[in-house]
Amino acid sequence: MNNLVIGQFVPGSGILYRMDPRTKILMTIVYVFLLVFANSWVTYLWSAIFLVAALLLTKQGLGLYWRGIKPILWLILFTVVLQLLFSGGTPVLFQWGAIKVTEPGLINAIYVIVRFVLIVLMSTILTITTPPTAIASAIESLLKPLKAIKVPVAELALMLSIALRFVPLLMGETDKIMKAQKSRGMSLSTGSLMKRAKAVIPLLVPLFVGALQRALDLANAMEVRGFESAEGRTRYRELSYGRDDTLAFVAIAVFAIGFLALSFIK
Amino acid sequence: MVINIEGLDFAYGAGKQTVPVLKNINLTFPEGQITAIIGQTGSGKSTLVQQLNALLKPTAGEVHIGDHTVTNKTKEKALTPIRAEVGMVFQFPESQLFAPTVIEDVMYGPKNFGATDEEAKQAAEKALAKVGFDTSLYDQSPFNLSGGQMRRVALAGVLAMNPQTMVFDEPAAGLDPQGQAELLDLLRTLRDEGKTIVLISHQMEQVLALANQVVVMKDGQVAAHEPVEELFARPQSWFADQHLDLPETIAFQKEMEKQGFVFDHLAKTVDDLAKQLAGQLDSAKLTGQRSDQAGSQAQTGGPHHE
Ligand SMILES: Nc1ncnc2c1ncn2[C@@H]1O[C@H](COP(=O)(O)OP(=O)(O)OP(=O)(O)O)[C@@H](O)[C@H]1O
Ligand SMILES: [Mg+2]
Repeated sequence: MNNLVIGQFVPGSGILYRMDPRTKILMTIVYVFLLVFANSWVTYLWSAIFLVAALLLTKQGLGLYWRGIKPILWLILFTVVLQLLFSGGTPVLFQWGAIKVTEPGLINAIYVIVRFVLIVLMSTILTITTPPTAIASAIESLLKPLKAIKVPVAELALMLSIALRFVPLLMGETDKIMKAQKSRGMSLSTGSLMKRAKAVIPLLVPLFVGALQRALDLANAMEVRGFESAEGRTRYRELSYGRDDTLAFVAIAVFAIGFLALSFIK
Repeated sequence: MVINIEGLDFAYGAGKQTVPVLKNINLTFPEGQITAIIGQTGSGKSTLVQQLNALLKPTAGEVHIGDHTVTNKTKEKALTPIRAEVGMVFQFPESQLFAPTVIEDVMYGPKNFGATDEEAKQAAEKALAKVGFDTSLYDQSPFNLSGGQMRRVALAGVLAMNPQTMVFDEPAAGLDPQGQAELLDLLRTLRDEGKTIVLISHQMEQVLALANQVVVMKDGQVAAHEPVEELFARPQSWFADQHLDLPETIAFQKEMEKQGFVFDHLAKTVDDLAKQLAGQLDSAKLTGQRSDQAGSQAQTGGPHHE
C-alpha cells in the first residue's frame, strides 16, 4: 500500500516546497513537452542534468525515487523489448531466427527508457513537493481562462480536490478491510488467475459500499452547511507568486534555450 | 494455546521513512484467560494485537503463537494458518461485510480454511445463534440490517471459524448499553468455553468486570502487566500519569479510603461496594469512633463481607 510514490506528498523544506504550485505545474508541463522533442544524446544529457538538480533540491533520499520507478519497471521493460524487436534499419547487431536487433533499434530503446524515467521522475518531484489540495487549487487557477467559454472550472476543481482528499482515506480503509478479510483467511497470492480475481470481491465490495456511504455523508454535510456553488470559495491557503517562482522561471527558460540550442547540434 | 511475545520491536513503513511504534515488548497471554489491553489513544494497542495473528510481522524479536513462530523473515504463506487459530474482531467490524446474504458472509471464513459447504453452513448457523441473530434474517442482504445486527453478523463471521484465541479491538464502540451488556456476556461465554481472549477497551468498567490480567500500554511500551486486582490497587496518581480513568466504583472507594475508610477488597460492582460500605458504617456506629478517629479505625479495618 505504501510503496506507491507517484501522487504521494512527502513533507519537506526548500525552494521546491516554497514555490507556487502553479509554477511547478507549468515547469513540469514545459519540461515534459520539450522532452518529447529530444533527439540526441546531448539533449537527453541536458535534460537529465536539469532533473538531477531538481531532485537534489527536494532534499529527499534517492530511495524514495527508486521506489517511485520500481512499480513501473515492467512497463518500461515491455516498451524497450518492443523497440528492440520492431525497429528496422542497419547495421544489424544481433540476429536469431526472425528476431533481429539493429543499432538504431538499440539506440531508440535506450532513448525510450531515458525519456520514460525522466518524465516519471519529474512528475514525482511535483507530487512529492506539493500537497494534493495545492495541486487542485493551482489547476483551478490555471484553468480560469476557460471560464470564458462556460467550462465550470470551480466545480471541476472542487471535484478534484475532494477526490484527492479521499485518496488517503481510501488507502486507510483498504488497509483495514484487507486486514479484516485476511483474518478470515483471505489469500490473494495463491491460486489461478480466475481464483485470485474472485478473491478480491470481499475487499472491493466493502470498499465500494464504504466510499459510497462517505460520499453521501459528505454531500449531506455540505448541504446542511449551506453549500450552493463552488464559485468564489475562500481558501485556507492562498496562492502567491514570489521570488522563488521568478527564479524557477529563469531556470526553466535557461533549460529550454539550452535544450533548443543543443537539439540543432547534430 | 499460549501466545508469547519475546523482545518485540515494531515500526511501520520501510526504508528511511520508518515510524517506530512498539519497543521491547515481552508478554505472555495465558490460555483460557481474558487479558485486557488499555492505554491512551496512539499508545500502540491496535498495533500490538495485530502481531497476535500475524497481520503485522515484528521488525525485531519473535512472536510464538501455539506451534508457530513469527519473525521478520516468516513467509506470507506460512501466516494464513495462524489466522485460523487466532480470530480478530476489529473496531466497527461491520465494515467487512460483503456477501449477498448474511449466511454466506458468515460462511466465508470457515470455507477459506477448508470447510465444505455443509460444514461451513453448520458453523455459521451455530455462530449466528451464539450472537443471538434472528434465524429469519439469514437470507437477507447484510446491507439492509441495522447497525447492531450488522455488528452481530460480523462477530459471527469470526466466531464461525472457531478460533482457539479471539482478539477484540474495542468491540463495544458505538453499541447501546443493552448491546454492550450482551457483548460482555458473549465474552464470558467464550471464556467459559476455554477460549483465550484479548480485549482492547477504553471502558474501565468493562476491564474490571471481565479481565483476569491487564496490560497497560504507554508510548509503545508495556507500562504494567499484572492481575486486574493488583492494577486497580495502584494509587490514583499513577492512573493520572497514564492518562487513564479509574472505574467509578474504584474511584469512589479510593476517595472513601482518603476519608479513613478501609476496604478489604476492591469493589468490582456497585452492589459489592455498597455492601462493604454498609459494613463499615455498621461497625462505626457500634464503636462510635467513626467521626473523630478515622485514622485509628483504618488500622483495625471493618468487618469482612465476601
Ligand atoms: N498504518 C500505519 N502506518 C503508520 N503509522 C501508523 C499506522 N497505524 C498506526 N500508526 C501509528 O502508530 C501509533 C500507534 O497506533 P495504534 O493504532 O496502535 O494506537 P492505539 O493504541 O490502538 O490507539 P487508539 O486507542 O486510538 O485505537 C500511532 O502513533 C499511529 O499514528
Ligand atoms: Mg486502536
